[in-house]
Amino acid sequence: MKGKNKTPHYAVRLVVLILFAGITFFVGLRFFVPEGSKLTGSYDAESLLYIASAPVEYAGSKSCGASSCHDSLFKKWAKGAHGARDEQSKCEACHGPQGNHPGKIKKLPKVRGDGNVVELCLTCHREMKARSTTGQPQISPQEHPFPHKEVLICTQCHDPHSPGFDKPATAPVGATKNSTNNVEAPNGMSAGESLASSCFSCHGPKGRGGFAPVLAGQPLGALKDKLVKFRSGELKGAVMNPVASKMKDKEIEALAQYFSGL
Amino acid sequence: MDKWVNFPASVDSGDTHELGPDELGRRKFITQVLGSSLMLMALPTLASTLFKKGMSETERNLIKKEYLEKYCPPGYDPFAHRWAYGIDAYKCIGCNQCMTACKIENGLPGHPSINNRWIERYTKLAGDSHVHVDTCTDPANISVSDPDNFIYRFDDRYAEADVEYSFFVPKMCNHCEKPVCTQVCPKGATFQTPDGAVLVDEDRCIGCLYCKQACPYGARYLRPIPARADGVTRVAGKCTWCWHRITKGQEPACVGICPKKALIFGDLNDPNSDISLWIKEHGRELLVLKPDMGTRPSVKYIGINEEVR
Repeated sequence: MKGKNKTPHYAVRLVVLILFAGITFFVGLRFFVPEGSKLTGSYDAESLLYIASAPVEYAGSKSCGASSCHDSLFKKWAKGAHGARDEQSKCEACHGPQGNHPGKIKKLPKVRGDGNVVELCLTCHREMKARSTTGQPQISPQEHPFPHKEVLICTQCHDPHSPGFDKPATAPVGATKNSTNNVEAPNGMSAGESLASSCFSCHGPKGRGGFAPVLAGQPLGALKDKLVKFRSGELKGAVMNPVASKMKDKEIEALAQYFSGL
Repeated sequence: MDKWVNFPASVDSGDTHELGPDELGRRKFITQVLGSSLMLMALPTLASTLFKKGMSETERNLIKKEYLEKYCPPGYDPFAHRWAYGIDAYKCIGCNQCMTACKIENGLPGHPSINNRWIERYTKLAGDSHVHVDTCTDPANISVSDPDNFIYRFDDRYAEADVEYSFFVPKMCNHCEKPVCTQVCPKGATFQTPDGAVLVDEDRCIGCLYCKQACPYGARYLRPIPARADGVTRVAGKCTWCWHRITKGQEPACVGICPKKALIFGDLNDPNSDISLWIKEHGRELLVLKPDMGTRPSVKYIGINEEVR
């Protein structure tokens, strides 16, 4: 009877052994772990230099103005609605990262990405339920260019460096630099491609459809036919008539070729 | 049955040797030798631990100096900083500029699901019991984006819907004070620097993604790299707080580009830094993601609700 209540000696031994192993482990941990690693952490510290050596792409707006290369534009921006407030829309937000700009890369794009000005503005200014209502103007692209329906891109009325409605509407896209008489396009783009960039603001990137119909992949004949008819006024379109009226046969051909080939 | 019958159940007592009173015996001998040797090993360890002094200030400084000279970028002292990051979800407009800047700055491919940081849209429709969440990887959002050109947009899917509330939440690595990812890494490839940033050693990482499984915030992903000598082509990627920028005294690319000042970054050790002032201003509103995980994130939020995970 007495022997049954007594803790068995093998259990006592087990507990003592576990306790002993535990104490040895933690004491050893304190003893063997080098003090320095508590300061710095334990890892291959040589990787720090590698991580820190990555190139800086975004240099900040100040470097554009401080370098006096873009002094006047910078001053204009700093006074305008995009730069004067606490919440600034930076140079690199629209023009892309500075990266190697003054050196290897001679020229930054006017607009980063696919060159679609309207969509770039709408990146921040499109009216959306989730967006905070304070701060930047919220614009519904279907309603906004009122009353000038022939206005196609935001920059015709608003100077992006100092936005606000202070710039009179300039001539529509057909007369801007993208469809000059020079059909030969710069830097390796096909003639149609460089012309087409002004179409993207309504017809979507690469003509894949915006708030105007899809152009990409349409038959060559149909595209040419439509443009010619818009030019002559046979087809009516508040937007397309003024655009097409300034086009030459060569340009119509190039555009139709470009969009049908997509 | 027969084999048990033939096998002797016990050793014949005639073969064993009865121990005399002065004999030690094998079992006793082993116990005593083992026990005393363990005591001999443990006692000095215990004694040295009890009487060991902590590192003296000079020793500490020596180690720091060596670390700074050998491993840190020139002119940067990680011991002098404690970085933290603030996100103001009231201000975020979901323009995804931070994501674009981050990808270009860190040389990531344009694919929408390879991200150091991303924005989530939480929308509750009237009469709906759950919240709709969509990010840049949503097919409808990809269709209005242009990943090849690093352009990411949210579509206007709730334009006609009856929305109860809707807001954007930027998400990123939380650079926890007690990171989980560093504990599970079998290669010691991910670590925390003294300034609080959690980084990945690209040369050690084998892309096993234990860290991705461990991370409560889903901040890690597989990043393609040029094939290494050991055949590894993808390693764990994560936000580094643009460590190559902050060591040069610049702010992270996302913070620099944000047009709404919804992202705040700074040094907690400096009482006049952006983040210290911001934390002071919003003291009671501040939230962190999944505080119950015990990771103590360095990324603080305001303007989110309990639906945000």
